[in-house]
Amino acid sequence: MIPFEYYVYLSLLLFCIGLVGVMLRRNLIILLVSLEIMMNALIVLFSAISRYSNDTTGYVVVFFLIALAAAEAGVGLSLVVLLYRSLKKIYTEDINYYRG
Amino acid sequence: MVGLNLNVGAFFLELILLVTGLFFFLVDRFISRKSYAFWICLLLCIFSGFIILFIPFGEFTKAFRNDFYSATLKFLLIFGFFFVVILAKEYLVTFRALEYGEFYGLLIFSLFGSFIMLSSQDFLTLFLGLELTSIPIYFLIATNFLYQRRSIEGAIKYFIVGALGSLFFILALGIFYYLSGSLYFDIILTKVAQGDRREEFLAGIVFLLVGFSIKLSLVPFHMWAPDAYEASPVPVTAYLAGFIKFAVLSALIKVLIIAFSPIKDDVGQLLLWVALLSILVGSVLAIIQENLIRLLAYSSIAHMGYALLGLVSGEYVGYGFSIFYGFVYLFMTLGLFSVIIYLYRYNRNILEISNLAGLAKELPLFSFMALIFLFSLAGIPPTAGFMAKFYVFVVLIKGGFLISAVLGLLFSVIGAYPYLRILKVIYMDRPSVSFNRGAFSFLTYLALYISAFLVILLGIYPQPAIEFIQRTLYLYLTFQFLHF
Repeated sequence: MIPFEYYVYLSLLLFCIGLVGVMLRRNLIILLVSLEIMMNALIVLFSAISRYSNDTTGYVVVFFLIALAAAEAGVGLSLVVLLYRSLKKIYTEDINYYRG
Repeated sequence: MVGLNLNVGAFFLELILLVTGLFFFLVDRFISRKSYAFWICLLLCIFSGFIILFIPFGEFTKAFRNDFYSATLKFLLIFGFFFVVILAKEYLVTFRALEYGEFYGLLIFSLFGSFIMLSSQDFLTLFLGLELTSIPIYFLIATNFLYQRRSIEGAIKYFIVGALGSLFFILALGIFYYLSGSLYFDIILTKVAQGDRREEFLAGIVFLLVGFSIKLSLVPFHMWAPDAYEASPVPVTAYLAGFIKFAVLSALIKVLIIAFSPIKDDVGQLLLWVALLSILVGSVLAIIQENLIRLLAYSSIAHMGYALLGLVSGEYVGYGFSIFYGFVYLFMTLGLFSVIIYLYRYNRNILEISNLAGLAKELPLFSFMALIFLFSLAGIPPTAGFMAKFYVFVVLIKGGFLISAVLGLLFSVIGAYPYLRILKVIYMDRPSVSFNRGAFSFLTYLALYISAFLVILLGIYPQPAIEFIQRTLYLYLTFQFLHF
């Protein structure tokens, strides 16, 4: 059986990959994908804790998180599509109107 | 198997809100006179303000509980929401392209989310309420692109930062779940009270505070606030600045009371520097702003810093004064925004501060109202802003944080400058543009006068409001902890 720590390492690795993606990538779609990667990292974390402590709370949380990830992807994609259609922008460095 | 308590009566108000919100989304297409939504919203506010006094306290499953704290805070929030609805109506009369039932429907969903957040008994419900409070706002900000095409940029910035905040929040949930094996507040409280693994819990609390401070726009995570505020329609800005901050602040206080009260001193130490930095950054950056809304955004950052100062000493009295500060701040902003909406309807350039010059000659009444609210924001007696600051600093000094209190007072002197500069422009400068007067509906005058009255009244005689809040906290704590 795979030890519990490995799942935690995997989850933290995925979380950091997503965080670096949000910080560094320029394309808004990739940025949304990075947010999804972070969400999936947390899903792995919760299900691992649930599996190794024989408690069902974590699985319930996982279902809520999956629904929430879908909702957030819907909101984010609709905003990005609106941005592209009205202003023809898709890169983060173009989003520079408000500053100061 | 523990018996579940399915008391629908405790959940009644939230059901009404949910049904009303869904109703707007269902029927709005088929109704051509769009002003119906406003009247339904207004009736809903009055109705829920009454019914909240009669709703029984009780649990709906173990996740949702209506109790003293949540009922009181819901009542205060409904009071604020009433004014937000009036402001929205006044704005949409001029900006007709936004006048759809969905505008009010999204506002009601957000209100629903904040109610869920305040009544939650476990971290998952709290988190879902927090998300439901903020997700409709992303859309409401983006709607403004019909008048100001750039506003989607503000919405996207807010969305990305908000999503990151919620991810950190879930990370904190994972840590608490690992440490205590549950997400219920009371089980986490007993685990924290046992005293082992204190550092691990504090690490979780740091991530939790990251999530909260992104929603409250505290300093390391404040960059989204001015952009989102400038991008959104003015009533939505009022909602973001006053209402959501107040709701999230009360939820944070609730979490600190019922989940982490054994280590609340350490949490206060964590919050001290965040609060002081928020006050400093908000006050200093407000000085250089030329746009009125951006200035108010930085001032809201600073004011949330003051409100957090009440949590630093870790005494329950200070928590009550923080709630009082949030309440006073809600009404100061709503009043000031109703003045701004009045001006903005007739002159779209009014948001630049230099265009306000000579307003006092043209519109003496509104200038005087602006004077009251700006004095209150600056913290000058006899207004409510002064009393709120006074109580927060008294608790801070009694808790032994003398140097922090002195620093906070110094920063508040810096923070008074931007508001006084606006007043100087309004009262002393030579008029540059002419204002044409327009009609203003009775309800909006009502909102303006009531907020001005409250600001003055709470400044002169704050005792009843303070006692009301403190007694609520006392009763809540008694019922929460004494039955062990």
